[in-house]
Amino acid sequence: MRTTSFRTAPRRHDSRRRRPASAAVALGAAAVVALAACSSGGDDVPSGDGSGGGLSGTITAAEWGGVWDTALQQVSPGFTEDTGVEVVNSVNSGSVLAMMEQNPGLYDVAWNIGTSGVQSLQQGLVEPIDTSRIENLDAINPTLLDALTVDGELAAVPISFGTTGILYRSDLVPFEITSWEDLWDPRLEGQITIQNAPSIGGLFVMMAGGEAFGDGIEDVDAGFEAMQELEPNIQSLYSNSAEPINALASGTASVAVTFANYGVDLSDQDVEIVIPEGGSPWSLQAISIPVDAPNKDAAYAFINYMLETQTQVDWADAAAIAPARGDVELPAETQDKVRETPEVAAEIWPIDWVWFGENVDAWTTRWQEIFTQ
Amino acid sequence: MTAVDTATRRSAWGGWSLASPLTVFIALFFLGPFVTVVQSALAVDGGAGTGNFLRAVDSPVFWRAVGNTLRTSLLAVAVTAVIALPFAYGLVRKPRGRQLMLSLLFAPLVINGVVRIYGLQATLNLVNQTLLDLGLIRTALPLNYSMTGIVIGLVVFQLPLMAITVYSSLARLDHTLIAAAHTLGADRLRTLLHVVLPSAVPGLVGGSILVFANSAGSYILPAMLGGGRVLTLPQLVYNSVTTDVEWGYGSALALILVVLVVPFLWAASTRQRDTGVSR
Repeated sequence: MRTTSFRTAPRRHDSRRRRPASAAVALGAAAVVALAACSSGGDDVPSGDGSGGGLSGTITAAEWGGVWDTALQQVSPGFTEDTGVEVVNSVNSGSVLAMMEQNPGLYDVAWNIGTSGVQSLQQGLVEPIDTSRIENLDAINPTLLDALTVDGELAAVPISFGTTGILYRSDLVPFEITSWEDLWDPRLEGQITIQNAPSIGGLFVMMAGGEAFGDGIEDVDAGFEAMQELEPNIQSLYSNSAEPINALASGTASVAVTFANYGVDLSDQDVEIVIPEGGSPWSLQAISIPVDAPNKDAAYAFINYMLETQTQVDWADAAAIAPARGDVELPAETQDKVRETPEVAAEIWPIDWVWFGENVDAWTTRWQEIFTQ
Repeated sequence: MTAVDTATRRSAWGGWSLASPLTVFIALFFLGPFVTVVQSALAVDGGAGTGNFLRAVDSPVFWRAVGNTLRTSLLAVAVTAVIALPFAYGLVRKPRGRQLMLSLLFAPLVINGVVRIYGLQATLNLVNQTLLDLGLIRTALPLNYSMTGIVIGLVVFQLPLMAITVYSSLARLDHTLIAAAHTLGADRLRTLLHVVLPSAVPGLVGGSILVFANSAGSYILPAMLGGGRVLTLPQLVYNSVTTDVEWGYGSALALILVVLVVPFLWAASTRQRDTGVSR
């Protein structure tokens, strides 16, 4: 249908209509420039050298959220009571390395696992720990300290650690699982959920393959050959810590490889927890101090607080994780939640986190070639 | 200067001044970050270069992710279109219950997406269990942790977009033409193909653009319903940026994703024309 044009004057839009358009574009361009200027300036970020006087103010902690944030919310108030310094927890489910890179000068302490701990020191994001300022350092499990030492410098102070174990539904699995090799049993076809690489939990299974079928945890080629053999048994690769628990509880998966202590709450649902004899992989929770931390005195005080005997007990209870100090005795009700007995702690694998961090990208590529469609 | 010239100039200024807030918003929250991503993607060894892009195209895993992204997105478009067309036509032809149907279509959107995905996984497990219990299948169907699961999830999430777009297009259909077609001897199929479908095409094209773009850029749904076994480009981007902390490589992957989506959008938009017959 033809429409009748009601325009009575010839259209002369070229110059007149272009001017308002140009003004709008110029306004937008100015906004982009303003945004770039704001994002590039770091001068307004406080950069205290941490040497000023007594403890005061706040400290900001970069942490992972989830169960860790819940535990910190329970434990941190004690530090505030003792020192008057408030702890502000800054949560990001992604990498703490990324948090520190994106927000220089914001964090006073950064919670790190093994790989990110050594990587952050190597990348100059955190400073070497002044071990003379750490009380109770000698009581920490030496395997944990060694793992975080790079060229003689300590990247982070271990606060706790957890072993990876095998959780399985005894009502769904037709045999008793006792060792890492049992994961490769054909009767578990399509029943196992493990963590996806590049997260360390999945790569631990690769190391277990090297340990079980090769020359040890650092026999990566044997480990990946074993993963190729394991592929038919793998149902899914989880990304967050709640997924394997949900899968086990619902019966979607009958076997999960995850933190051993996660199975404690599922014991009434026929979930068995296995930390195989002969050693197991582990992950730790350690605190680093960013190079541009505004309140370093308070940061060291917080680390020392987390290593106090009672705090180690409270932290173990809140997070269901083993204390880094080997001399801390947990009360019975807390020990029930924590499967890392002294015997287990003595057998954790000597993981070289520097070596791990240097290879994780290449390993992830090999992993994806095996497991992804 | 005539009165018409003055009025035209005022009209132009008025229009652009109204558009300025949106222009500023887009500049701040789209163009600015986009420029940052481009800079990051081209930053190599302290200088500028295409190393991040070359690294991507050299990786078999990258091409696998590209294939999965395109496959899931195109399947989502096809399936949502097939479902949305009769649904939208039914809404147009039967005014009774239209509001209820539209409400039911959009009601799930108020529920958190992750919760919906968990619910969908539970439903798919229930479907498998029911079929197994009834003896209709011997082994569980690959509904969860598979390409099928991802496509099902994308369809569930994107169907409202496609349906409302097609409905908006079909709502302009002149119903007297359908009657006229019948009067002239056309059966239902010919009426559908030659009268109804042309009216739906603009909506289908518009809906396809939205569904494809959303599906190609979706991260959490393929990550959860794929069970880590089906790698897509958004997952690669996420891993690069948050876990590997490789900003440059992640930025390059994000730009490649944009480049993948744009040709589809361009092809779809050039095909989009109002072939429907309006009142």
